[in-house]
Amino acid sequence: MTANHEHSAEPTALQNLARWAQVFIASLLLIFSLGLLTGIITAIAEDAVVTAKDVGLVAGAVALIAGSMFWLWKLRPFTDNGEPISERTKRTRRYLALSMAIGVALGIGFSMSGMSEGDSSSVFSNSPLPTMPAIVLSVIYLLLVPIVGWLWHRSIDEHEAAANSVGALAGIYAYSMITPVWWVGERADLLPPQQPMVVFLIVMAVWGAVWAFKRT
Amino acid sequence: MNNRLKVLRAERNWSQAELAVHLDVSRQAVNAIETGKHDPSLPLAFRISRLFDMPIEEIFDDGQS
Repeated sequence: MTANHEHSAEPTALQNLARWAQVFIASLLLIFSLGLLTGIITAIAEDAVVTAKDVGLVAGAVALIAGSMFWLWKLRPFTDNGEPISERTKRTRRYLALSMAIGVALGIGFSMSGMSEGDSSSVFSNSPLPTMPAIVLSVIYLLLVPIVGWLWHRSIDEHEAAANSVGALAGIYAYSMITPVWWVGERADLLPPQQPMVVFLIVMAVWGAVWAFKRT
Repeated sequence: MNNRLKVLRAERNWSQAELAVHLDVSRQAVNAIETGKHDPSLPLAFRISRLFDMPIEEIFDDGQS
């Protein structure tokens, strides 16, 4: 196996961060637009009448879904330009695609359970959820995350593992700083009540950013 | 740690992706080793050594010898 081509220049850390930020935004847009479509269809089903406005709203939501999916596809990290890929890398990508599919499925399930409570904004709020969907989604999450995570960790190479570990360490440090400071600030009436999901998202963002930076 | 991986790869006219396939790692891993951002583990260093049929110390230099 020979080739006379040198690989094109690696993206800089900043370019990588910008790409992952776009992936995050596009993913949020996809989940939001799926929830929007679910809400519109639920409302149409309740009214039992389809108006021209409904058709327009559905078309708009579908366009948003298609747009966000196209955006994610454009941002895919798997642009190999016909270069060969190791078996390990192929395995890693399959698990990554599987975890993304699970994430999207859970996001849709979460959106739909929020919709059934009549609150279209519940995905990004602390509003109540129906009991059974909450239990089902939590059990699926608790079962699948360790399994897919274990498979993924078995498949990655040592460079990816090292980058991921540094990102995880940075995430732990972020958590150990944010949580007590917010707790103290809340008790002193300087900060609003602590939001576990806000802390979670910040920790995940720090983990992901450092991971992306280290793997370049 | 300095290494001769890029030179050895070029001598065989391999791209980073092709070397990655031989070593069963990602292209990013090869790039990180070549640029000194990642020091390979002993098992990977031995794989590299066997692939190029050279002793590890002829490929990697820790600056102590």
